[in-house]
Amino acid sequence: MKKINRMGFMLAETLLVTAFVAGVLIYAFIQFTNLNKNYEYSYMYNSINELYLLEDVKDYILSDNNSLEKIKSGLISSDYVELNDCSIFTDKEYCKKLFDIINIDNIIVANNYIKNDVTYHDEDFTTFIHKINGSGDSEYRLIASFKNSTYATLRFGD
Amino acid sequence: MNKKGFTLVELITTFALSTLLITILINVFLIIKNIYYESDLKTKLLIEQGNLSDIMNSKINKDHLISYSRCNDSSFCYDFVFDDGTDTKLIITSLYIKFGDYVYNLGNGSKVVNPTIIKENVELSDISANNSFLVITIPIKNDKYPNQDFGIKLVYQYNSNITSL
Repeated sequence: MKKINRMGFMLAETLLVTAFVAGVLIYAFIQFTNLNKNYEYSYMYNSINELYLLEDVKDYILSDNNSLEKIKSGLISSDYVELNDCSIFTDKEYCKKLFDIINIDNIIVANNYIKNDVTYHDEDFTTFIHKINGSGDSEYRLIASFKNSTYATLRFGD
Repeated sequence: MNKKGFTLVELITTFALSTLLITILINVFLIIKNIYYESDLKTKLLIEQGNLSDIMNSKINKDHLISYSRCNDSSFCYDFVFDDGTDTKLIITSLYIKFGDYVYNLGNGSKVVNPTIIKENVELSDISANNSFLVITIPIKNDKYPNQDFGIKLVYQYNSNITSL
């Protein structure tokens, strides 16, 4: 009787190993893509130029007692107070001019330790909010997006 | 019958799976290469942007600017005078930006594009509040990143009833 050669692998074995290796590589690729996305985000978030521009907004808020009181009362019932329309400021024209000069797209004030489930109507802005970790003793936090697609956040208040 | 070799189905399946794996690996390799080449220059540009922004903002916003004037007509040069009597020059040429003692050497394909210093006023009823802005814009572009601005924008808020710039 002729001897059957049983060396080598069956298709099933080859497929199994390849599927396993492919699965591991796909998982690694997904993780790497996330890493790359975070690397891109690092250039968009909290650049020094935008932080200094936000400092100008902070100085303006602190110089206007009315706005600070409205922010405090607004945050009692809401996760954030929107500043886009300048309605909380005494001098709306000055506020609009300031926001226009520093190219603000969206800007809110929230508590320093902002909750992770806060959502905003802009998805990218919400993504930025979710990446913020409160720190320090400051009470409030300015969070802004700029028209050049960058984002920044700044603590303020006692 | 000679039973050596592979069937067509086995070969096609193997090639398909191998192609998938190689595509994934090539993508990963290209991303890593991109990060490696990009991060070096971009990091340098962002560090310089941060340094210049920090130095100019610290000086102009903290030391209370009281006046500024052009130092000469041939290049972009302004002299800033502060409350404490000190003055600092801002000089921008095609090769460098100098603010006081700090020098930012433009190189690696970077250039300043239309720097400006402008004033904006708002009419307010409260004469004790800030009503004006001095906006210093120094856009810096790089050939490798044509859509990105590595320059600075500085906003100085003041009361024109008290300080006439």
